[in-house]
Amino acid sequence: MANIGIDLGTTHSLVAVIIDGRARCLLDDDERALLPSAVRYDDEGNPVAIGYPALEAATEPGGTTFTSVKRFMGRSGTEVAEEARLFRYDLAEDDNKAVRFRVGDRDITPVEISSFILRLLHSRAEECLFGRPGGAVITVPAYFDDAQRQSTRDAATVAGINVLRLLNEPTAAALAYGLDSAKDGQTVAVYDLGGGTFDVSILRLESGVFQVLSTAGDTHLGGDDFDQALAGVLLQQAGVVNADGVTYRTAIRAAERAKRALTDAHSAVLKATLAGTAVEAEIDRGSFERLIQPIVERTGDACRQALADAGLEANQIDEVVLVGGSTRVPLVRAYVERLFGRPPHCDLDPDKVVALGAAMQADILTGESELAEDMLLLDVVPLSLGLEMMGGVVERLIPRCSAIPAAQAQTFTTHVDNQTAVDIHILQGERELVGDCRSLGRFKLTGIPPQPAGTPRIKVEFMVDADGILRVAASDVATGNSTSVDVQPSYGLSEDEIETMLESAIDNAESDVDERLLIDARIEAEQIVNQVKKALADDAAMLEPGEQGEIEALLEELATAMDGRDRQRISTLSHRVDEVTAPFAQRRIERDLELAIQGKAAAEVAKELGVSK
Amino acid sequence: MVCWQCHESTQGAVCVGCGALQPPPPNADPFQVLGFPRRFSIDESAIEPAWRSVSRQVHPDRWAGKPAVFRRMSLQWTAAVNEAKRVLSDPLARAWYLTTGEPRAPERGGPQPDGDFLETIFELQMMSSADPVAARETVNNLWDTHRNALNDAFEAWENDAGTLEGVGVILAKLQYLTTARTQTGA
Repeated sequence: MANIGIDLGTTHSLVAVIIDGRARCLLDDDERALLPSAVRYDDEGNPVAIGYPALEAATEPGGTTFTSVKRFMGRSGTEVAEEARLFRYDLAEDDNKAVRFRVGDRDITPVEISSFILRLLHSRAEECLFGRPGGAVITVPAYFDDAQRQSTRDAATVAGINVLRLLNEPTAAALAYGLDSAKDGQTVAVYDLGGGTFDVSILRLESGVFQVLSTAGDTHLGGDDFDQALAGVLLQQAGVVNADGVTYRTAIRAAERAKRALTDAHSAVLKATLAGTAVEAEIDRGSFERLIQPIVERTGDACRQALADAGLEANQIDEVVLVGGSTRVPLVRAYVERLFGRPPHCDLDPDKVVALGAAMQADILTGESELAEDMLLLDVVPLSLGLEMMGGVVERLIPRCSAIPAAQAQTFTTHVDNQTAVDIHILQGERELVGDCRSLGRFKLTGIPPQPAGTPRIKVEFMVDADGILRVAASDVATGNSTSVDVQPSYGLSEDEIETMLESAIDNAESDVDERLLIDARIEAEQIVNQVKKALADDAAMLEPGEQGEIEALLEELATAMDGRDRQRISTLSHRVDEVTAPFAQRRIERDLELAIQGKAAAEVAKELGVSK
Repeated sequence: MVCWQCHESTQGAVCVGCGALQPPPPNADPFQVLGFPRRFSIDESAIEPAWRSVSRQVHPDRWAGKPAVFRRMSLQWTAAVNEAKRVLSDPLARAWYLTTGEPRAPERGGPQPDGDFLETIFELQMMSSADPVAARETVNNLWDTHRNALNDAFEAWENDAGTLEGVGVILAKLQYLTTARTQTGA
């Protein structure tokens, strides 16, 4: 089974795969690689179109076309209120929870909208490959925080995609350019100006290892801003003060056309019918560049930050790679060349680079890659992770740019006599004060025996996996009481919500796809059950009190689930069994290791004595 | 070392015989993880290459699609490798680890410098606005003195000619001086 690479972009998305040893983007029936990241809902809130048809219908009444939803992933309603106003999206009455768009009587999440885009790409791959892809690597901006990564994963889960890895976009781009085969020990800057996000990363390539030295960016900077600036001119010209959704989107589309034309031509015509008035304005490249100059210059701050974090000067960068459709704008290229003092690479289509690199990484993860057998990508956390301390100060446990996977533990104590519970508040960001950082979640460790303040020792452990997603565990060192969470981001979706979306997604999905997913889940569950049963039969003596009961109860529950058709329940329970039996498995390995050492020692003694076994 | 899976003798993170990933060293000793002698004076330029070479063997990308037990170990290993690089690359963290066996100083309650030293630091802060050049020079001199004291303590210890008793305080002082260096731009 081939693995696929997906670039889930702000303005458009792509899917790529390795065919005959080369990464290629897969095309739709009209031979287009790009799928606009747009989903249209009718006025009742039913999804009616995805991609080009959704975009084409954007200016028509009788529904809403959602674009640029990547900007809303993992954000709260309050955080994106301004953004939603710019896009003329109605937000559900809110609150400080994950953002929801209001259409008719329905609340729609960015995760749901993204899942439709992912599902369409996945089925495109299925058609092209004549079979279901094994798994997918999905790219995210290097700057994405925990909540945004989690939301991307959730969208893939809802789409029924097996996510092998979330990969940072710049890393994918460097991989696509094959810069690994160039001279050893070089540094590369990846400048990615997409539709809605800007990223710059500094990478070092040494003996087949791709290491991200630093990354910086702005999740609110991109080609959309150019469009908005141009649309502003057009709306002003038409004398429209408070544009409604349709008028605004018409202006944006006209602006986009003019922007594209200005890549090659020296002047273009902005033309649209706004609120019943036909408007036409000619704009030359000079005025366009003056208009966007301040936006382009904002990318310089992040570039300087990334260089400083990597401990490098601009002239120490060996290669510069351009990614993202917005880097076609001549002013952007000129600016990058001036900033780094060298002409950037732009041989590959900047729209496709990331998807191509994702496909290569997906291929590497099969473990049978002929492309880059020896290649390894090492990523870093984009933002520091820490905990709230007394006085609202943040203690950083994992500083930004730490290599991942990363684990850190810190021991804390209580501040009040006889305190039996502590609140663990997890934060992400670079600032000193809690209020200035982003809250990722909170949980409570209870059951601490009453003791004087300062006596208990509470150990908090952070674990960031290879996707950059955080897991936190807290335990009372004395009692061993522990609690752990997959950090459910404060602005993410709950398990229940994802479950509900999955159910409704399955209702809509083709039943044969559904059937195969169910079979896969059962096979995986069966493997786990067999392993655990064998271990229980061999080494029941090594179980801790209570462990056997818990494991057996879970196995029974899983067996019942396997008779049913709820694949989500089957895989959740499978993972739960794997998790619960992990300490048992660990003990068996340690025992085997000890036996092996003793066995070896005995064999050596025997040899010394001249006795053969 | 003996492989937990095939029971044959092996060395390194991955069994030379059966290819099984081995459990990470006990308590993830950073020196053992990256294959360095347990000494304060190490060849710092060898850390990066060692880190890269172990990462290549243990990284989750290498174990994707393998049984869960390998994937779990791979995660533990890689986290340990990254932490080991941090500890070994920073002389203060390295010294702290050798002294206490802990990867980082506690939130509070660690060794503290004497009052005279704190007084000096306080004076330095006053001086840094009045006479930044002099402040920088003082900080640098203090830094060199304590950094040498640290080297001497470890050299004695490594030659079985002394203990690490006073090291905690020297490290606490160096921590203060690190901050002071940043503040004065030294």
